[in-house]
Amino acid sequence: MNTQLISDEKLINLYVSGDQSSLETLICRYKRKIFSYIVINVKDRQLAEDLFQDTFIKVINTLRSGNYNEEGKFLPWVLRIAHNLVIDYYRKSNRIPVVDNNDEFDVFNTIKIFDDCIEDKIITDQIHTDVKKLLDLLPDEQKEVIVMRHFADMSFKEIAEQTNVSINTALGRMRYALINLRRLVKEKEIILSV
Amino acid sequence: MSKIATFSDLVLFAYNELSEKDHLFFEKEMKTDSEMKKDYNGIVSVKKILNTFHQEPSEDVINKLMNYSSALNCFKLPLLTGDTFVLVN
Repeated sequence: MNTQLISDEKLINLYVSGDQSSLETLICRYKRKIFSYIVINVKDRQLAEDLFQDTFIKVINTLRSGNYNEEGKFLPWVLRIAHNLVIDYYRKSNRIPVVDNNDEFDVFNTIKIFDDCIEDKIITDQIHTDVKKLLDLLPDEQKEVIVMRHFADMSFKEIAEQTNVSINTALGRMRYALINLRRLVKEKEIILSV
Repeated sequence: MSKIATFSDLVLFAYNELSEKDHLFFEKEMKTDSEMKKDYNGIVSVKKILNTFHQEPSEDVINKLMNYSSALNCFKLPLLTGDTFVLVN
């Protein structure tokens, strides 16, 4: 099956009709965007995996109950679910997302004992930590638009709709976010393997 | 920055959100407008840094989700409700 040619809508219909592989295709198509979105908003990779799982349980339940009605906007819909679960998590645990200034952020959580190249993994994790710290230094509105546009691949129009602002406002936030990130990289002399 | 283009236009260009006609215009302008090119390169450098962050969930999570979905199919299980779900392989 050439999954590139099949639309989200078609895959959803196939899944609702009983084709399990269509769900797997949908998850694989968007797992990177959705997981990156979640992991940026929480500090812990394991927690991010739990929230990713909870997100897709809700997706599965909604699709199977016949209540899905997003007309081709599958990704923004899933991201809204993920976003609400992140908010719920912080609300229920009475935690406020804060900038983590230590070096403990999930470096060891993400290293698997039997990885072939642990050194590479540590370096990758350190880069992830550095980028996340950079994003955490941005004002919430700027971080949000970066996460939605860059990681979730939403258009500025979709971001504007989801955040209830005009496209110009969303673009303005992106502009300042990019300028600030560039400044922070210079200020902190962060060297990334890019 | 070019007199006819804003930084927001450049952001749209960098994220491929301009119309084909406008996109071609920017490509052409970039060759002669060094200030615009400099701003664009700044955006690209930040994009490259952000690209290092993309992450994926473990296969284990995907497998659990597929198992959950299959179980619903096979056994006609009721849908899970509530906010916390525990899936076991």
